[in-house]
Amino acid sequence: MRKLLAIITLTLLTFSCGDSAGDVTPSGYSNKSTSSTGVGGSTARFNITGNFLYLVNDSELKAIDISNVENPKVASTTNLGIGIETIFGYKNNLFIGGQSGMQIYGINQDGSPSYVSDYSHTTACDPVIANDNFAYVTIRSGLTCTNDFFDVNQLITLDISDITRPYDVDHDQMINPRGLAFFNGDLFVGEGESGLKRFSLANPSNPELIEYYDNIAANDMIALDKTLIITRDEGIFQFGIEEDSLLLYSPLK
Amino acid sequence: MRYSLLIIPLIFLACGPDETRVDFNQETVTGYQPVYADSSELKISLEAAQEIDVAGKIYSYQNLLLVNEVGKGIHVYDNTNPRKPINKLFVRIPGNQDMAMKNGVLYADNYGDLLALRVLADTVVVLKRVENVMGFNKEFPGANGVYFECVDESKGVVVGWKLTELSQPKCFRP
Repeated sequence: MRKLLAIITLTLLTFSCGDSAGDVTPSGYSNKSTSSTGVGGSTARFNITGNFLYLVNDSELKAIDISNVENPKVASTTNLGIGIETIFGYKNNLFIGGQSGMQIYGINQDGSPSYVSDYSHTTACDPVIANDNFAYVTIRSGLTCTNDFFDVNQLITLDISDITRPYDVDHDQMINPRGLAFFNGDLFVGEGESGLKRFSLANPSNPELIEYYDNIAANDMIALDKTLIITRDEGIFQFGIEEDSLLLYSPLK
Repeated sequence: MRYSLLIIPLIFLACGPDETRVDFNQETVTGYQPVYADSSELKISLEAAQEIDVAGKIYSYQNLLLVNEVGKGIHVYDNTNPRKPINKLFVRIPGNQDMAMKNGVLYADNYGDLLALRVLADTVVVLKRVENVMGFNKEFPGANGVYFECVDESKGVVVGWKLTELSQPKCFRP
């Protein structure tokens, strides 16, 4: 009996550890950096969650054990199919963007990833970000993507409240969408040379365009608490938000 | 008429094995050629701050902002005040595209390898190199069923594979 109790207690402990590890995920909805790890843009191929660095190359997901930060070791390799481009971590899930769709992998207690579900779409490039109930994916046709036949430039909203069954609830026509971020409660989407778009998530299943900054070229971005860091071809630009308007803080040279 | 429908798939099947037979005596064939770099081009080093030329990915860690210089390394900015970021230094990492940090250790790709680095005031220390994780292999190209020019180590280290016309290649990846 005592043994059984010990096992139950241990199991519960393990679970609660798992949960708290999820809470410190760096690139979550709040986009807060913690003291121990940082935050990347939505087009990143690297993601650190807990004691693992998850990286995607063109066709694989590698889980790299960094419990000893100075001595990384490959713990597992998962085949994903070709054309993989981005990884985004939220809580205990990894959202992987590729040229043929989005795949969701869950992170097990031991840090190993396991397949949960996927959402396929026509061939296009696609970073993805997510919160508890929704994932936002951009797809675009262009020179660096393999799709030449269809003009697919969209922001797709996926309902992921059941993580095992993602489905699309909204499609917004875009010009040439790239990276995206949650900032100041809104969804920002880079349109490359065509500018930056801001969507209200008052109804998260149906993002509503509230502002189009056609003079702010934007590829990818990182949202911190009060700063939006935007990359474009010629450099990096930082914006603050004051009285609900974007204000240029600094260009980086 | 009905038979002709059957014959077509048979012809395709018959052609199959012939096309995949490896022939090392072809005059020219499309395949992969190694791209070499000599070891001086592969050096990882700490350099004075440089201006951004081609901006790649970005990473925010505590008060630092890291900016990838596509294929060349990482610019390190002190971003304590986002209105006045200070360009501090440049970490030269050939082949670099991505990065992340934990507890002061910088992880960065270096062509096909992953490096764990510690950046100090006057130097950068390679703590660990994890080979061939970025989906690139120094010994053979990534594609299957392709001819390639055999690697000649005297020419340097392989840092990429270029699709081109080869004359009489002696290597094939099944």
